[in-house]
Amino acid sequence: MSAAKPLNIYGTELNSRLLVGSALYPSPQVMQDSIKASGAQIVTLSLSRQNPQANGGASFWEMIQSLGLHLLPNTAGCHSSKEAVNMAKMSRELFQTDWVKLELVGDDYNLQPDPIELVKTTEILLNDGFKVLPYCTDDLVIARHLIELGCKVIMPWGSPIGTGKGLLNPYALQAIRDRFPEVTLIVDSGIGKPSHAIQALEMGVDAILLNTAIAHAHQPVKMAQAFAKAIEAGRLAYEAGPMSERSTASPSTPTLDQPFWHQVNVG
Amino acid sequence: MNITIHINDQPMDIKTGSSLLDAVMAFGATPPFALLLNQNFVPASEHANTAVQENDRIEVISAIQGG
Repeated sequence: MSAAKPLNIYGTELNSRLLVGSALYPSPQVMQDSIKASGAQIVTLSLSRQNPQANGGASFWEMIQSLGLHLLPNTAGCHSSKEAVNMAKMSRELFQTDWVKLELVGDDYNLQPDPIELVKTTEILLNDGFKVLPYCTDDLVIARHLIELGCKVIMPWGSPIGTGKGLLNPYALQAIRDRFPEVTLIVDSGIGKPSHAIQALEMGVDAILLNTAIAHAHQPVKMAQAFAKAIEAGRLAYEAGPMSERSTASPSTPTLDQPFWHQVNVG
Repeated sequence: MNITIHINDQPMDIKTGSSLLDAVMAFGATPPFALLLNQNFVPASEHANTAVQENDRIEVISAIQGG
C-alpha cells in the first residue's frame, strides 16, 4: 500500500486531516483531552479583549501552547475588512504565525461569510505576507477569485457554523473540488457527525475543520476519536476510488454452475 | 497633570506623556497581549515609544478559545 498523501497547508505537510477548534468544551481539561484524542495537528483560537481580573486569559494560552500544535488564529466576529486586518496583525504578533483563518461575517442570521469583503481582505492580507485560509461559502466563482489571488487553501462551509447539518450542497463542493484539484480544500463549519466528514473526504475534500461537533457531543473525547477514525476512513475510500453507482441490481455471488433447484426448464 | 483615556471601554486617568505601555500596565494588562490604539494596530516594538493623548481609546487583546 502506498504511503498516505499528507495534507498540505501552504507547504507545511501534516498527517492529520482534521483541524479542531478550542471553544465550547465543558471544561479546559476536556478541551485538552479532546484535542489530543482527535489527533489534530492544527488548533484554532481567537482574540478578545483582555480582562485583568481573569488573569488575562493566560491559563488558556499556556494550555494551548502545551499541546505543541500548529496554531490557526481566526478573525471570528469581524464584519469589516479593517477589523479583520487588525485582528490578523495582532494574531501574527501574539501567536507568531502568518496563518490566518479569515472570517468576515456578512449576515448575523446564519453567519454567512461576506464574499465581497472576503475577497478584498484576502488580497490585503496576502500582500502583507499572510497565508490566508478564507472561510467562504461553496460558491465556485468566489473560490475562483480567492485562488486567483493566491490562496493555496480555501475553506467553504458545509452548512452554517454550529448547525451540525452536514453538507447542504454536495454538488457545489464537488464542483469546487473538480474545478480546482490543486487547491487544498477544507470543509469548515456545519459538520455535525462523523458520517458528514466521511462524505466530504470521500468526494475528495482534503480536510475538515470542526469544533462544535466534538465540543457539544455528550462525550467529547470519544467523539474526537470517532472523527479521527471517520476522516481516516473517508480519505482511504477516496484514495481507493469508490465503485460506480448502478440503477439495476447485479449479483455479487457468481451464479455459473450453481445447483439451481428452482430452474424450471430442465427436461 | 493627567489626561483621561479609555482602556477596554473603562475610563482611566494617567499622567500626561505616558506611553502606551505605561497606560496598559497601569490598567493591569498581563502579557502576552496585543494593542489597538484608536482602532489601529500598534506593534509591540512601538508600545514603549508611542505617547497616548487625551481621549485615546486603547484595546488590550489576548488569546481566547476559538473555532
